[in-house]
Amino acid sequence: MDKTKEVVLDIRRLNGDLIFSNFTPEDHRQFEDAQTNSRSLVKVRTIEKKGYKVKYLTRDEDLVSSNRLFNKIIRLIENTVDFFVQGLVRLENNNAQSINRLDHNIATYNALSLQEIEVLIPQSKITGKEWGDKIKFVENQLQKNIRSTSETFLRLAKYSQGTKAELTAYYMLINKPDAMKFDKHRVYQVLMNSLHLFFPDFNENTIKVQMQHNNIEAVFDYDSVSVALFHLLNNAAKYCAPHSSLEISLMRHGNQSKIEFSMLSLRIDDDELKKIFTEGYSGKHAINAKINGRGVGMFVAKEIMKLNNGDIEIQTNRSTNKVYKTRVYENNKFILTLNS
Amino acid sequence: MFENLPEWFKWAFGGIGVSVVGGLVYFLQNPFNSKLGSDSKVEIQNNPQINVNVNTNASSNEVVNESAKPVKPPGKKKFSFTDQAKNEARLLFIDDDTRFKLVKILKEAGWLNVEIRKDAHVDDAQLKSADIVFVDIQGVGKKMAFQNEGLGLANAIMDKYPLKYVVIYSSERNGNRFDEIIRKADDHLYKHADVYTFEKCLENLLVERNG
Repeated sequence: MDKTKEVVLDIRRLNGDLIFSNFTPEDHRQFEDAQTNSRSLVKVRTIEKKGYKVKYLTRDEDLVSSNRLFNKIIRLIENTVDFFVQGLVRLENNNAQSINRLDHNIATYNALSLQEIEVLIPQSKITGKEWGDKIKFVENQLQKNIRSTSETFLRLAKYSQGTKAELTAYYMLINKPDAMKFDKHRVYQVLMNSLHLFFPDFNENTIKVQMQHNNIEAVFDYDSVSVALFHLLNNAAKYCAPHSSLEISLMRHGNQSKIEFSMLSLRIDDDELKKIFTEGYSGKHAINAKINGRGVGMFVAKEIMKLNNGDIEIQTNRSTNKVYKTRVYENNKFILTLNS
Repeated sequence: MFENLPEWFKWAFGGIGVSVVGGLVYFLQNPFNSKLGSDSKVEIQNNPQINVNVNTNASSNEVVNESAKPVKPPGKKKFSFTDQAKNEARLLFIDDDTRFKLVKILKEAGWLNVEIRKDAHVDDAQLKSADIVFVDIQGVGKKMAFQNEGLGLANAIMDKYPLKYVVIYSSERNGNRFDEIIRKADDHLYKHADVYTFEKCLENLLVERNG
């Protein structure tokens, strides 16, 4: 294309950060020059929009000689530019949100892991030891605290799996099906792989877990469905009433497999049944009880299930309303469906 | 600890589940107790708070969908049962990082014949005797001067031994799954995938499933 017939653009945020530019260094110099030199051979225009600014420059003789024509060309380009910038900003915001979520959650799991290790092997005590005595010291600490060491290891396994769940969710929700691998799995086995990680949590809150076994198989992506299970079980461990039960049933009807989690857990109001699956929404009763998270788990679980040709739904039972230590509990069912 | 449990339970707790959780549950002094009833209803109590109720008679409609895996050419070795596969199948990992822990974990999980070596030539005896060869994409294939490293080696193995299973793995999560050699392999995996995923791959390839 004849460069002299082009209209070139430089699009920046209002703080000067570059969004897009096909200006050459010479274009930049001539743009500045044209601001003050009325006999410049180029025609320029700056248009500020909501959140960004566009510089236009042309050397096209017809456009340079006609304000009307140049303005008309700019108006034609303007809508396309706006569509492009808004799309880009949305994409950037989504990415930033995903990265923030990943960063926060991984940092949390890492901190929890370090704390677990710190409790068993206090840094203040190990740093003072002679180099050769350090391993002996750790050995003694673990032997002295065999029970808490065991619990620590299970927690570390959970935090590692949590980290993996965050990374997997990030890749899945960004890359979508590219990173997925569909295969036929025994649902029971996949559930057990996630369930054991929550052994200390259920144990701590005296929650009885009952699970019905059968040989149901379904086709899904193991890594991503494990993420959904991780979030569901994490919520169950957090929100189930102490001394209650979590019943897990597996069912298959035709081409549909269902995993049903029935529990006495914090009430979910009617107006929350959909909201709970939106990113950043935490249940009112969880907030009141000051045990809410960042409102990400159910959102991620639902998105992941949809990528697996499945879904999650919640069924409540208001007649089972119970109050324990000011917290309102009801029998809730979280049903995961896999259509395969 | 698991000797008296039914087959499905050993499988359910296969892999890392056995080595990590089994050991820890033992430390927690809550051994699993299994009671087999006359009606085949099994109740396993692993903790006063956690019960796993199993009904081996539970009916389930058969899954009609087939896995997306390609149909294997006839003639590749199959084993009838998982335990037989674990006892007899010879697995070889070719990976320049010979400390790759998966080998140890698979051994712990009951796969008796698992070896790892830094690199291989297609005529190496260890390679000749393997039933299934896992090849890392990065850092191997130097012995045969393949420019495309593990992919070149995997391709040479597939060409020379069409009846061996070849699985390619990579520490790159988003490897090029459209690569011709990767598509030619029996499977391809993410190197840092769960042990379950590796065992699932082994089961898919090696174990003759009834029905």
